[in-house]
Amino acid sequence: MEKKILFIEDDRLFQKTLGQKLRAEGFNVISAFSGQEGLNKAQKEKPDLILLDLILPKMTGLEILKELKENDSTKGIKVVILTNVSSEIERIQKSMELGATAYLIKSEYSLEELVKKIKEFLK
Amino acid sequence: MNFFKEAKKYHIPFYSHPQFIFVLNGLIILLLDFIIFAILNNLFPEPEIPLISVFILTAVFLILSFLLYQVFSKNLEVNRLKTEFLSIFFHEIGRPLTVFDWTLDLFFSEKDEKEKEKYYQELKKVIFGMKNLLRDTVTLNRVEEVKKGDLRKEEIPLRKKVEEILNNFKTQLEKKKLRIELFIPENLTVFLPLEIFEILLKNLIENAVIYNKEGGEIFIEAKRKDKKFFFKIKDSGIGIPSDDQKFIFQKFFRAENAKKTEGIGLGLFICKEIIETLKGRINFESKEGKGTTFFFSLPLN
Repeated sequence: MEKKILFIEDDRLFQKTLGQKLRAEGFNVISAFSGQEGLNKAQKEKPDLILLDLILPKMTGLEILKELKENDSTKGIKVVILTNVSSEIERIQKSMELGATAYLIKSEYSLEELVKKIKEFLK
Repeated sequence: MNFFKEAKKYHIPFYSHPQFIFVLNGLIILLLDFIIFAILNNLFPEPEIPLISVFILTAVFLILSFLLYQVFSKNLEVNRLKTEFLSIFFHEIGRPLTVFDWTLDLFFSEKDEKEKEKYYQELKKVIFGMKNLLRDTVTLNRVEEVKKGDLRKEEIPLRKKVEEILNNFKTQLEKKKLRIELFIPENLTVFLPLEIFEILLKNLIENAVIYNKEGGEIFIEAKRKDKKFFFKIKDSGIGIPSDDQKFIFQKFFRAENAKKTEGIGLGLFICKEIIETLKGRINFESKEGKGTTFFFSLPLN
């Protein structure tokens, strides 16, 4: 069965590029452009993996992660943090404490490498 | 005097905050006053001499320490702004570079010519966005620079200035067939720092143009009343969703319905910075799908 990935990211271009690539690789990608949308879809769709951007408008990635991990129906889902730059180190650490599986710094990977990484988490 | 909170903002211990040092300095001067007064009182039989000497000494010390306080405070603020500016830049430069990299990957692995063309357009857009980012960060940097230096004011003929800015958007105005109405008295002039005031007007006018609908309207009204300048710009554009309204002056915030238009979310943040520098007020009214009205007022003395 094809794996379901929920991609919570407000940036249209990241959604488009990474989303497209993951779909081409055979994943069922569900896009969410805001925190609230992401939380709703996480409960409804029960994805195998959540890719979560840290910097989102209104509800931050950390707040979303906290809610995901506090809710019984979503706390088992693996959450991989995506972030723009490594200078976010404080927030990355905080997200690992909150129960994120791993973090990936977008600018350090090509699309190919990033997808390879994501596949590893789904094994 | 809340230097504990202030010190936290600047990431320094409270005892190195200029406000704290100033207060401490004041207390030391007061203490010295008593000591000097006591000594002089013993030396001179007339009570006027010690009193006057202490008074003059206190005044000199206080003025000196106040000058020092101002220099230190200014440096502290400039430093904070610099750090903030750099962090904005680091953060915002990474995004388009990554997007560009990834889109390029997709472009090369795509076989279909039509799809390829789409990726090419995306790549162009990213470059356009980076140019905007550069332009806006340069502007922001300039605003900060003007802020710490002297705000040299000059007499600005308002109507002419607005027409000049509108003229720069001529292509977009014609493309969208926008109707412009100006309610600005011919002889209205304002005495303000031109460089940053111009950026303020330009950003607000630009928003009214790029977020407007085809065949839409822009009304600009300006007046002066009791040493205050009032400006109002109303558009018939996409409006700001009510959920987003409280965030729109934050840097890098983009309203949900604005994301289709290229931009990075610095325009209104810069406006707010300028308004604060000029000690004015800015506000807006907006309805999604109907349009937005921005108004600001500035003191003119």
